[in-house]
Amino acid sequence: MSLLELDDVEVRYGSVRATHGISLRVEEAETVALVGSNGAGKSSTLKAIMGMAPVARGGVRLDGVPLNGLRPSQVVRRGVGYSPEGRRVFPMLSVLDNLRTGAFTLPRARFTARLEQVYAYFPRLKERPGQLAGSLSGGEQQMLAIARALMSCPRLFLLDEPSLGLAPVIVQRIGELITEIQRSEGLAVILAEQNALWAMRLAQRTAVIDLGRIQLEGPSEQLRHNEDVRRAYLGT
Amino acid sequence: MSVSLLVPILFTGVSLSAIYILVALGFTLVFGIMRVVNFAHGEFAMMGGFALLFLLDRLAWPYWLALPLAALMVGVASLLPERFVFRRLYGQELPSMIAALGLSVVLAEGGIILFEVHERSLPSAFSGLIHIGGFTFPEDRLVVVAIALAALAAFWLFVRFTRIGLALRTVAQDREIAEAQGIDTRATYRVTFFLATTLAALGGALFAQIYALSPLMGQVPLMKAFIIVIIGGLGSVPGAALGGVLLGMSESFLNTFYGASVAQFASFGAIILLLVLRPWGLLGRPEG
Ligand SMILES: Nc1ncnc2c1ncn2[C@@H]1O[C@H](COP(=O)(O)OP(=O)(O)O)[C@@H](O)[C@H]1O
Ligand SMILES: [Mg+2]
Repeated sequence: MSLLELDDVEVRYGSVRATHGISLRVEEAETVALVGSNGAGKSSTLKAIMGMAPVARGGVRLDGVPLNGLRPSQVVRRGVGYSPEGRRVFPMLSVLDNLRTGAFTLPRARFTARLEQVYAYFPRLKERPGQLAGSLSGGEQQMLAIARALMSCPRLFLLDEPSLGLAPVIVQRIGELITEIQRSEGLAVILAEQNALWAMRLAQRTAVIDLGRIQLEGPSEQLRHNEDVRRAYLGT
Repeated sequence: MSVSLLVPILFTGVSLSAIYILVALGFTLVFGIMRVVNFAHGEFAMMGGFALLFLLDRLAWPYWLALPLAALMVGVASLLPERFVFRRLYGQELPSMIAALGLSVVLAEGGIILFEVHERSLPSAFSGLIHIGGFTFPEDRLVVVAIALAALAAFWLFVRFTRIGLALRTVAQDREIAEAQGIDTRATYRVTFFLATTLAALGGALFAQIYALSPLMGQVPLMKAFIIVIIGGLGSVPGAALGGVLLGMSESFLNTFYGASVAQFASFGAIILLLVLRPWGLLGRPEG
């Protein structure tokens, strides 16, 4: 049994079908890149796992237990962390309050210890706990969005477009952080990205999604060196 | 203007402002967090007045016990419509607004059936006069101001420094993401509605003490709340405070010098002007 199993998941917004039956397995402590162009259905897939998108067909299971019908806050409680596309930190709250909002499912007694662990990954956040999140730079906001989701001690971490709109040096730094966090927490990660080559370097396995379907899947190394894949899906 | 005239006007302004803010705060809170324009808000204020009358008159409870309990009773009772009406309509602004309008009529007419339509007065808890520095203040008004200010301070401390308060602030900023970070937003809605109607009931009870109590009295506080949130910006808590002070003070001044009609004319005239020039209010933000 895999940590996460998606079986034939169809996300439907009214008459718009965002995914046409996604099936995917994620094992413990594994990073999977979900790559594809804009509108391919990456965000919808992550939202289906979180219970944020209407699932018309198919099922999502965590540890073999169905997540269908749960509210997003209950999915978090089961051990899934979510860093949304566009960061969406709470702009009018301080850095520290943003981190607190990520810890509502954590027993209170564990908050301080967890905060120190998360601060250790992100020393720049530790330096400015009182600053309003809205006044942080784009890269800092992305780090805060990741840190906020980590506060709940997830086992599965869904990361939606963490490289979007950031300068190359920052993207590289975020990549290093994702790897470091993944290793030291033993996290399973799904990294949804348009920046396919970057995401594939961070992930052991890659699934290429297009038109709401997973078109091919395999070890990232293999796909990266496959000329047909590069031409058809990676735009190189 | 002489000081002897100014001080009573200011005092009236302060006491009006305090009550108005109590009522408008809940109204703006329900919109800012739940996206519901609660037309029944004034009826919860009215219910606060009747609950206080019941506890004081029938049960002969002491005022200090009766007032907070009256407000809490209304807050608890309001969880019924929250559960059975609004919860099904969350995220649908128009249907929830119409449901609120319906609830407003049901509650007001229910009040008429129970208590008849005529106005009555609450037994006065305080009737003395207090002299401070050559000025005379009616005791009951001082009490009203003190209670309203204490409730506002308690509310601010709650929202600013508690865990539930933090949840309210996140939901007001981005409900979808608050839920996806593990915050039970339905529970947050329940707390919001409870707080809002409790504050409204407290405001209504104080209002009924100064003016009069009747099943139809909810219209006045609702109107004031509307004006205040249009001034301050719908959904903005500092906006409700600013709007409440502006409305209370200007009403007090205009009433004294030009009479009630001019006061009404001016406040609604200002609203129309504001809606044309800055529809998101002084402290609100443009939509979209
Ligand atoms: N809330 C929504 N309502 C209607 N259509 C949507 C909504 N969200 C996404 N879509 C549509 O679903 C498809 C997949 O979108 P999305 O999952 O956001 O793709 P990606 O994240 O890969 O860019 C797109 O065609 C998009 O327009
Ligand atoms: Mg997307």
